[in-house]
Amino acid sequence: MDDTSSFRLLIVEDSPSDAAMLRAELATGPLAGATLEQATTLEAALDRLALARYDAVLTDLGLPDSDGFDTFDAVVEAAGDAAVVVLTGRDDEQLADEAVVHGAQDYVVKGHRRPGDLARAVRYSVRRQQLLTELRVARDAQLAQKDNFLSHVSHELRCPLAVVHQFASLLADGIAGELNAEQRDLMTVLIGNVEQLKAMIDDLLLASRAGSGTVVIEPETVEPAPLLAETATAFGPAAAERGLTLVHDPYPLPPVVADPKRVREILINLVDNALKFTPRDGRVTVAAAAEDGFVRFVVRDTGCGIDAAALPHVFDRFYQAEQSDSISRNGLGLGLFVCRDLVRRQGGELTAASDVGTGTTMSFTLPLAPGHDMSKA
Amino acid sequence: MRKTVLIVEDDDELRRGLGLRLRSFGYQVAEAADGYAAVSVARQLQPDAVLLDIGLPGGDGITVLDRYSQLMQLAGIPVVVLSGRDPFATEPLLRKYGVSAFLRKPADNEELRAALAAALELPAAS
Repeated sequence: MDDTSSFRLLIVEDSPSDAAMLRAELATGPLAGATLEQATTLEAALDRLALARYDAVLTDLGLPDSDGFDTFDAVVEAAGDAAVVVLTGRDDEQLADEAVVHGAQDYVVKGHRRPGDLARAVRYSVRRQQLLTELRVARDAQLAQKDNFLSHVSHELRCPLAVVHQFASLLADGIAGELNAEQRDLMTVLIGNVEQLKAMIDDLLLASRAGSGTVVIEPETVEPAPLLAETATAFGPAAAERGLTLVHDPYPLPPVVADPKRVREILINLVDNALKFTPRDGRVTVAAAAEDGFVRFVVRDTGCGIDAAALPHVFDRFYQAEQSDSISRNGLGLGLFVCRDLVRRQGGELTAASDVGTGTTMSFTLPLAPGHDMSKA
Repeated sequence: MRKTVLIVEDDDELRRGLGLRLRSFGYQVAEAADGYAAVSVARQLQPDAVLLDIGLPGGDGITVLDRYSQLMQLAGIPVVVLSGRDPFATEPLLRKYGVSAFLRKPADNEELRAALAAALELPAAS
């Protein structure tokens, strides 16, 4: 065990007699050489915790300027890597027990201790808290390593993929000579798979970023109408190819506060899904309307729908629908998980409504820019 | 008069594929395989636009952009970046150099066509 004579302890106790007893108990035994400091109010305790580092904080829960769990929460938060040991009276054992569940390492009951109990509780509390800190540091390091790895892999895979994609598409587009029907067929399969690989690699990078919150959101005042129009135009050819009608109602809309790049990504993801899950002769509608404090964006399809059991899970990480068009990109199932995160981080919410056989409506909100109320929409 | 695009890309195969693709768009194509060539060829040729990879030997794409910005005859040339790197990491830096568009490898050919047309201020549709 660590050199306990170099321990720094903070005692948070307003009763002079209780404090004296603590000091007396700690004066003999393994913590005899420890440095003891005392605070008699919560405010003083928080000052000390902010200014110096301690191995352990022994705290009463009833202080002149705070009581019970308020004291406790404040101390635990300020304690950082210091172990918190709660000092409790016999009537407060239940409270103390709860404190341990919420972050204290131990509690000691006033006046009913054998010699050495207090010192032991403190020493073991410090040791356990140290282990927690070590775990946290190790976990953070591993997460960073994982993110770097995924980012690196994603980058490395892109280069040969870019060559495969370009050469395949050069062939498919007849740029190196006309293809016969069978060759065209084979190329379609080839390119479809390349698109899928691309989707998976894109998702690989999202997987690393989504968890670590490193996606940068740069909010600005954005006009939603051009973004919607742009998305509808971009997907026009894809919709036509699948025999689908893509409908876009260009109403004027008030500006919102959002990151236009992220909004584009979200719209692309939602429309892509809608096209993927809607059979020929179906319809995908992209629309938006001002609501109280928000603009609500809607992507509605007349596709196969999502059954009630699956609906609550569509935003789960790695959720993949079972039926999907074999030609289209599948990715790793991260799209909606990330979309929801992006929407939330811009102050909105993404929701799904669906009926099997009728279709699905994905809808998300973004906050109105200040100074623009609904009546101006 | 056909526009010239300088392709800066160190991967020989990709550079070749992009060359074929850009010619199919109707552009004349010049090539550079590293940072130094990116600057010396651009100086010589004065291309109408540059398609620039970031990960290059002999001066990466960012130092190339920096050098272009220092040279009066190259500072105004529109640049479309085509990179395998994470856009979130480099975009702010690139905006500093007025990069016209940022495409991720593998680029969608229609996006590539549109980005170049926009950079050259031509109508996007073919």
